[in-house]
Amino acid sequence: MKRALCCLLLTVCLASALPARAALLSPESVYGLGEMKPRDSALRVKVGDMAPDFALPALGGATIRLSDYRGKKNVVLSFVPAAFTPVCSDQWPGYNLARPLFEKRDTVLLGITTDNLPSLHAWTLQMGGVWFPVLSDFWPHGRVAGAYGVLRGDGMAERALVVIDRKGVIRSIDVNDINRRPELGELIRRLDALR
Amino acid sequence: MKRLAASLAILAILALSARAQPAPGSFLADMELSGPLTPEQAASLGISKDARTFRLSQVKAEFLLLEIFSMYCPHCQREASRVNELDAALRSSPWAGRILLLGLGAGNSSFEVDVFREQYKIPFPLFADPDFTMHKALGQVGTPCFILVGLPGDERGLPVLDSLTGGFGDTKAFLDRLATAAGLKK
Repeated sequence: MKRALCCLLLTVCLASALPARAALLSPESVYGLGEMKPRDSALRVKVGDMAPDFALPALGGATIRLSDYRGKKNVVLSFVPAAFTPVCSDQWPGYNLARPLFEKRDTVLLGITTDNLPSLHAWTLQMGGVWFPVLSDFWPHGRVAGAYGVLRGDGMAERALVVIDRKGVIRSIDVNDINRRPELGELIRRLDALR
Repeated sequence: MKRLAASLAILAILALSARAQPAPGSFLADMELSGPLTPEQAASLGISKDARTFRLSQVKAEFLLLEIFSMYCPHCQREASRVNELDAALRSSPWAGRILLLGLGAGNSSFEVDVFREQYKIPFPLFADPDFTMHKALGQVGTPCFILVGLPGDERGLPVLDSLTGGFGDTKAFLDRLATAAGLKK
């Protein structure tokens, strides 16, 4: 009985430690990771490189190939650590609101995590859907994140934004503190710089 | 073992209370906000349009309804048009000018607040809180959160008259609730 009481109280404490900004999103489905090592990988690409091509399965059944956008659109790769975690669960819904900003800059946004498709399906559904393709880098696990050098030691991707121009050249790389949401204005300024 | 359980209980209560919305009867810190304000917004708040910063207590009204939002919060996005309706209802109510609405973007930069404002055509003043300073001072409430305070307050701060976390549902019913909490409607 005492043990059960302790477990219950501990659970309440841990649950309440989730960042408040995600608390209303869906408290029962957001998993707090606590404060993590801000960055746990080393880049394998640099600005000016051709972006490593990839083909990944997307929600909805399509396979998205990066090189399909070459000569047509700028691309932003938004790597995030994991589905159902607090910061990721508001970063992408925010990009829903920013859709016109991407489209005005002739830019495609591709969201990538190392989660599998069923998890991504459930998560994006819970968030109310997102307008951009959501890609699963689950298997071979984290191969694309690894190619860019944003795969962490725990198998999750970093919270990284990679801007790629129409020629397929990497124009900026921002590996953000995994615990913090990147500021939108900075990304839009990077897209403006492509003009 | 009993001591451990008691300690955990205290921790749980403290942790939960830290996230609770400010309760009626409590006081908010008189926070300092910085612009920019449109001339219309400055006029409605009674603040000089040239003021670089101002405190909540300087707003020229009897009551202030704070909306704590985030452009990243899907609930805030869904509620935005309803909050605009509330603002319009306030302006056309018998209490026009006595209760003002003001938004704080928790964790939002000025750019992000502008995106939210432009997307939803929000007429009332919105302010950025990029480093969560004000959000922390408010107890790290969930979003959206609505807090009605009396102005100008006193040395204890601004008295909290009502608060609500989440959507408020029917606009007229919420307006009546606010007016009642403010003592404007019996």
